[in-house]
Amino acid sequence: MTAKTPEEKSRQEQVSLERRKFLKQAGTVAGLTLASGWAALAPPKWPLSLRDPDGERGKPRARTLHLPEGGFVVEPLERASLGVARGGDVPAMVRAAVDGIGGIARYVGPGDVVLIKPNVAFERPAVLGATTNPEVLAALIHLVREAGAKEVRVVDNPIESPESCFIRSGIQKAAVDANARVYLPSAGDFETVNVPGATWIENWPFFWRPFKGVTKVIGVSPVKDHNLCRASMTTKNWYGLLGGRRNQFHQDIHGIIADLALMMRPTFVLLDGSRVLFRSGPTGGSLSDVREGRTLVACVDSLAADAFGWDDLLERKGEELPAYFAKSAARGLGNPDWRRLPMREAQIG
Amino acid sequence: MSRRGSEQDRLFVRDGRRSHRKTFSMTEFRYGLVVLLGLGLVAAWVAWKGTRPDPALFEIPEELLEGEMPSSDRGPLPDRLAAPGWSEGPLSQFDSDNLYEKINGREDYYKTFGFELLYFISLVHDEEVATVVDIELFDLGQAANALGAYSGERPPEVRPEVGEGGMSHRAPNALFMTRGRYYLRAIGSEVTDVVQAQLTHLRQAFETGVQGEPLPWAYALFVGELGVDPSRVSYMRENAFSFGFARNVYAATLEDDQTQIFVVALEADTVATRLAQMFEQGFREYGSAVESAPGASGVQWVRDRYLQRVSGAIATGSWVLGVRGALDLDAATSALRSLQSGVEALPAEVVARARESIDPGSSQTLASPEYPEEN
Repeated sequence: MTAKTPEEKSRQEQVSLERRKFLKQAGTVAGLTLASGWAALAPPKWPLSLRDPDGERGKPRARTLHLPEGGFVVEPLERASLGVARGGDVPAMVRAAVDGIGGIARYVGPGDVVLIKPNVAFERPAVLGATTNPEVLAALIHLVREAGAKEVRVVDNPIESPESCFIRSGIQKAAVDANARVYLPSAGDFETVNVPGATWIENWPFFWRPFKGVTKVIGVSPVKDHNLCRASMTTKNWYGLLGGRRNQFHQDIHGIIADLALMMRPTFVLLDGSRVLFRSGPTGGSLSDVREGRTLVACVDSLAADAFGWDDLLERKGEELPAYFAKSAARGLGNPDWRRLPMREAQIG
Repeated sequence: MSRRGSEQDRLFVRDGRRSHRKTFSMTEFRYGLVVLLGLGLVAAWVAWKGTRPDPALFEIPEELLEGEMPSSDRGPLPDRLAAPGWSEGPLSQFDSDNLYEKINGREDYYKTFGFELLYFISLVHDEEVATVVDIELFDLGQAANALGAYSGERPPEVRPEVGEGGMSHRAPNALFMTRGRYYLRAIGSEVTDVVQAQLTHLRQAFETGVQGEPLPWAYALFVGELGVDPSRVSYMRENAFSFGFARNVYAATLEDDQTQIFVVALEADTVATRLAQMFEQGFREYGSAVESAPGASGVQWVRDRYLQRVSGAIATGSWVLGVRGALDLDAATSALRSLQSGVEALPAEVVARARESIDPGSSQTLASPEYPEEN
């Protein structure tokens, strides 16, 4: 056996290195090929499979969010009571109505971020009764501030031009003057919210941006006749938090209102019966269709507040309640039989 | 030059298919300079023109200066809607697909009256911008629809003014009127003199600028022959009395505020007979048949089991005539007799108008599984 020359040794080492390099590269390529093949061809439900035979996996998926479990409730429905204030001094009436359900301190504390949802659905001046009375809103904001709320947000999503609706209704000025922050909707503000058990809005675009960090929610809505559901009050008011093509809900207006009751469990609601649009609702337009109501109603149970509004403010006592009351009550979302609730009534002025 | 360039040594590509030269052509360079200079001149011209725009671009048409838009863009809206001291805002239109964007929750009301288009424009007071009058002009296709929608929204205590071209009334802050196929709602933001003056101006503008139409034929029957106040006449294009089969029904409420007499014009006697049967079946859902006096009109009266009111309908030729909610059998019979007399006395011209207004597809809608034909 002859000794290898340095050239032969060097050549053998080079060959060995090249073989090792080749094997590594070949292994890498083979591994990548197998992995790609797996991802591309393995059945869709197998691990790491990217196969998308029907294109469903390729569709963009909206983020699905949830409102807090149990909503923004402080006082359970079982302990609901009605706070009714009548008169003409709106700030005093707001305070008296809320005092009637235990006072604002029971519901709002220092550091709370409070979202108030008025009805700003139409580009109408407040005197026509199609929107929340700005005086009532301003008084409510002051009351909530007084309780120590860190921030107050005023939120609605009118289908008409939001800017025009907020300005024309006087809500913008009332909110800003009372040191609340107004949130006008824009396309990027909506997220899909999951409402378990809802018929129509189980997964539906929701005006989400203003809800970030919110700890309490208060609805304040006018008392209105409604062409389709017969009456629009605090429960129907949550309609203004939805996005998307909402008019399709009119096919089952009572079903969607029952869904709204399921979606939003507010801290409390304030039924603004300072004016009553008793005819030609929900848009109205003629002062002949509006009468002075001079009444505010606070309650944690929106069905009870609305039923009171139906009997006392719309003056339809004796007529059968709209179907959404029964649908919502069947889900355990409130008690339309307001006479069974403890009621505290105050006459202001 | 190019030939000389191709003879230069190759720099990067040595296969001869492409040429990259070490030198460049002075002629090409000069042409390049000329092109650059031209581009520079174009840029300078654009910049110069930008600072000296053609004044014609900014000329405002005279009609716009007067607060008006060219008629071609305004649909049926008359010119000069704004009274002195007021200005028009932008005009917008809504059709069936997007009506909900303007009147969400109430759009179905107008759709039941044949809604075609909504023209919307705001008039803004020049000195106080919060003082506005919103004009909603609904095109409902036919005068009967416009009157029907108007009557449905008019408060029952209000008596309308009846003109040659339509009806109207004023609310403290608003004006409501029909002109032919159009239904106008002018909504003022407040009850002030300036708003009242603007509403008066609007009324004149619409009366002179929008063609009216004679009231539908049924007014000749109810008002002309039977002496009913026009404010008591209504038109239900569909779903009359909550009966899905009942379309194009004219009704009038009598002085007792309870009894309604109604009439439907149909294309043939057989269709009328069928519809009368369906009314009877519909009334029977809420009550039961009552005996008529011998020799009475032949109608099968039905007494409502809840309200104890009497209703019934009968076919007379190609008309269906009916009474709904009469206090008793005598009142029902009497109301029907006067209705029958009124129809018999209608002038031929009115009958011809009634015939013209018949929905040609009305007989097809009578095939209702809820009300099977009686044999």
